[in-house]
Amino acid sequence: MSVSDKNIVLGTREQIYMERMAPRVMKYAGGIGIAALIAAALLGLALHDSMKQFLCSYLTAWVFFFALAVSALWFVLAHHLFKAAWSNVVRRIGEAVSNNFILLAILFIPILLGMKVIFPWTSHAFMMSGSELRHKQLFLNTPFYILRMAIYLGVLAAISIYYRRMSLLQDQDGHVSRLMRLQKHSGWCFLVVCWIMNLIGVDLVMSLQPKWLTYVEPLYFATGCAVTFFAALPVITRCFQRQGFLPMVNKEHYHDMGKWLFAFVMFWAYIGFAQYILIWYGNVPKETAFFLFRQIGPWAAISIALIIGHFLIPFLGLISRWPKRRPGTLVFWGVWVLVFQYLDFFWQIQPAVYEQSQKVQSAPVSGLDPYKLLGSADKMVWMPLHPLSLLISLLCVVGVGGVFVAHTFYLLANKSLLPLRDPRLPEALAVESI
Amino acid sequence: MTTIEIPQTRLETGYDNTAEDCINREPLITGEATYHAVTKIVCATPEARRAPKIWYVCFTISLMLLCVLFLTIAYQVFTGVGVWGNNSPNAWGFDIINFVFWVGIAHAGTMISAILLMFRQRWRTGINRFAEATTVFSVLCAGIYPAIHVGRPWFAYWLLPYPNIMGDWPNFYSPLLWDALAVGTYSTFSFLFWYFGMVPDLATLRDRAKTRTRHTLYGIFSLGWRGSARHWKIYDRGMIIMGGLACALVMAVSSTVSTDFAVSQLPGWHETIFPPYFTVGAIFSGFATVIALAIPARHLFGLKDLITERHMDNLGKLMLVLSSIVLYIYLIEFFMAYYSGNIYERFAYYNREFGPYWWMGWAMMFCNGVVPQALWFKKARITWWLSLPIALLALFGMWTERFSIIVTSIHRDFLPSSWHMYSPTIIDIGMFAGSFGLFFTLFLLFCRFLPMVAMSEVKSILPQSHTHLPEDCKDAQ
Repeated sequence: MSVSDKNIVLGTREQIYMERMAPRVMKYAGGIGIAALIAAALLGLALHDSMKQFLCSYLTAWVFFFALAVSALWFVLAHHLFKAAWSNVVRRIGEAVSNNFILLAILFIPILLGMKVIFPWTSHAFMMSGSELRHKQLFLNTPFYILRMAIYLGVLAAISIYYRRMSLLQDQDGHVSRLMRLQKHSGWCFLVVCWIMNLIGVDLVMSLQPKWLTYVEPLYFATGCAVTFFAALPVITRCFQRQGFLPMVNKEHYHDMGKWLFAFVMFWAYIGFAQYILIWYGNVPKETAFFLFRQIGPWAAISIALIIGHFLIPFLGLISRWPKRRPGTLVFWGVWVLVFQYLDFFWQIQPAVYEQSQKVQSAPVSGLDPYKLLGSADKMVWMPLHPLSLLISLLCVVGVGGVFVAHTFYLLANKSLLPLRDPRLPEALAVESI
Repeated sequence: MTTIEIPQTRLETGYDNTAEDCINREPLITGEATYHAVTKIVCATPEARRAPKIWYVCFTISLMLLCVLFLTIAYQVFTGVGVWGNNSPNAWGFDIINFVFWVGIAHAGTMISAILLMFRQRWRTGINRFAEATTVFSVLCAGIYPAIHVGRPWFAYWLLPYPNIMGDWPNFYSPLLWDALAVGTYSTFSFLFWYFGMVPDLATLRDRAKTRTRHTLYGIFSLGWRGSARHWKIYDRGMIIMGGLACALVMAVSSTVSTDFAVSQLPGWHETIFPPYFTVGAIFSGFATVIALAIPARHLFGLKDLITERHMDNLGKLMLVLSSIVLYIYLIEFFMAYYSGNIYERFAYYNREFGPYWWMGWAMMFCNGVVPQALWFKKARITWWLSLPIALLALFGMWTERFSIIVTSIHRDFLPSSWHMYSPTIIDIGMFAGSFGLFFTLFLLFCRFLPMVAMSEVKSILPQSHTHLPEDCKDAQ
């Protein structure tokens, strides 16, 4: 049976509907994910550190998949806001990936249960230990934190469900008015999502080090989020194509995906550089605290790896036209950037949890000499790089990722991978990239 | 013999092409959308024997203001920078406020030409030339300030890192040097970009010239353009490469300007968000300028079919986006000042909104963050008497923003005994007014003698330029 619209043959039903593959993926991904999470938790218990490393790794994995979902929503909203055509061929992927916020809210429960272990501001004594910290209590307190997270995830879930549901309904009845409504609401929804992408960075990353101050961190976090989906999109699309789906996605569409990826890799580097150079130049303790631990030892290696791997190499790799137009090459760069984006979240979150540990905080040095400080800190800040810790981090990524993938395939199952009755679909198929 | 039927769009002038329809894309050009009609509309002003009367009135006023600029500069150079209102603790005042203000305006042209080019926004062809001209002229206005600020402008070249017999070099750690290099590069590049894009249109004017002088002058500046396939290939490739480079430059220039302040340790200045903050603010003020200039120009010079309501609608939407980002940054600044828990950090923002310059702080919030929110409504975007005041208020708001950042942060030093108000002198004010004279003199000359709209680029978006595309997709071009 062929699926066609406006006399354009889009392919067979098997190329557009995931009828057989989705349940299989759900089963395997879900199973592997749950098993990995259990294994990670058991390993975490074996460390006898009050599950600190497990929670730390779990938070990193959660943030990575949250970034994927929120940037997918950003992409869907941008599609409607810009009245774009080309992205129609991959819009359904964005809609499915973005519909994971309820799952993410459930997966956030372990973090809430272990808040006292990883968020130092949950300790009253800690917050009373300095005048600046005392002033932050109005914002950094447990009930308000839970309320904020509930609002953020609730709003994101509502927007993403609305956009997917209307899009699927439009497939059934073909009413253009539904698309017009999505287009109309895309403006304020886009604004709300951008705000949440920024503000949630304060809660998930900045608040791990309550003494740290930098004005651009929310934007840096949001940029990292945006990179995630644009790196994942060509990878997901190509995987689907290898399984025989979406044959109509061609090099013109990959070229556009590549351009978005390139733009966000550049923008990430721009914000990261702006943050670093101003903190380095200003040399104010409340700001340099963040980079202090990340400029020495193995963390320094990761910092340098981020500059090279998250910016320099993909910059050179993606700047030309041809890598963006060759799906295989673009998939390579997509995977590459995803790995480094995970590393970026790892680098932001994991040392932060240990920097606040009692041993580091009570180190009898001025804090100006990082080598002395680290020496007396009993190498606590290296903990996330211990092989066992790395294994827990890997298992958490597989665990959260497995459940995330399973749910995404549940959403994709039996639903068309193309918005078949979108009037801009013919334009999307005929798009030519410059 | 096979004949190709060339589709043509014939619409009424003033046709509403702003519909938000999902099925059809509205045409970008109204009226008679043929190659000849585009040439006729754009060449009408440069080829006219006389400009509209209002042009002469505006040009006379601009020239008078330009004289004020020359006189104030001469007075300042012969007397010294003491003629300005700068004094401790207000070491910086109008000089750098106005520099940042003009550099900001200079961002729209390259933004429209480069970033919108990368986004395949074909509507930009109606306004890109225009916007690029504002870029070139406002960079010139900005460049005046650092040049005369050095006190002895004849030694301004000391800023450049050149080998000299004294073996001394400028301080490479100084953001003022970065600034000079960034703005210098940007001005050179934006001039080349503007000129390079204009070459085919200058050749059109040359070919249509009816006098020897015009033919010779346009001939010299069109660099022997013949419109051959080879020329077009080089041209297209050049524009894409320059567009790509310009994208990076747009981001770099205001970011570098922001480091003039942000590398210090002063609360209100030392913020890691400053580079994107300045860049967004700059593009915002640039778009406000383009709207403020496009509205009278399309009425005066009969460009309503090329700069249509859809252009104004899109410009309004972009301004709304930028205003929302600016508002986000203002609010994040307040939040972070609170979050810091630091009394000095908090005081800087308290003082901005409730100190002696409170009206500046609120004006920037109101003009940049609140008023442009009216652009959510289509009526405000396409009705000139609504969008023009919004754009002008935004420009005023962006000036107050620079004043708030610069003066409000330094006028109350750490020691209350060092608190002093800043008041500009008549020379400061005259120089600022004069810079508008320079801008408008150049801009009016551009409108009179050069093609205001990129003819060749507009022709490339007409339906007849895409006869090979399937019928469904032609509207989209």
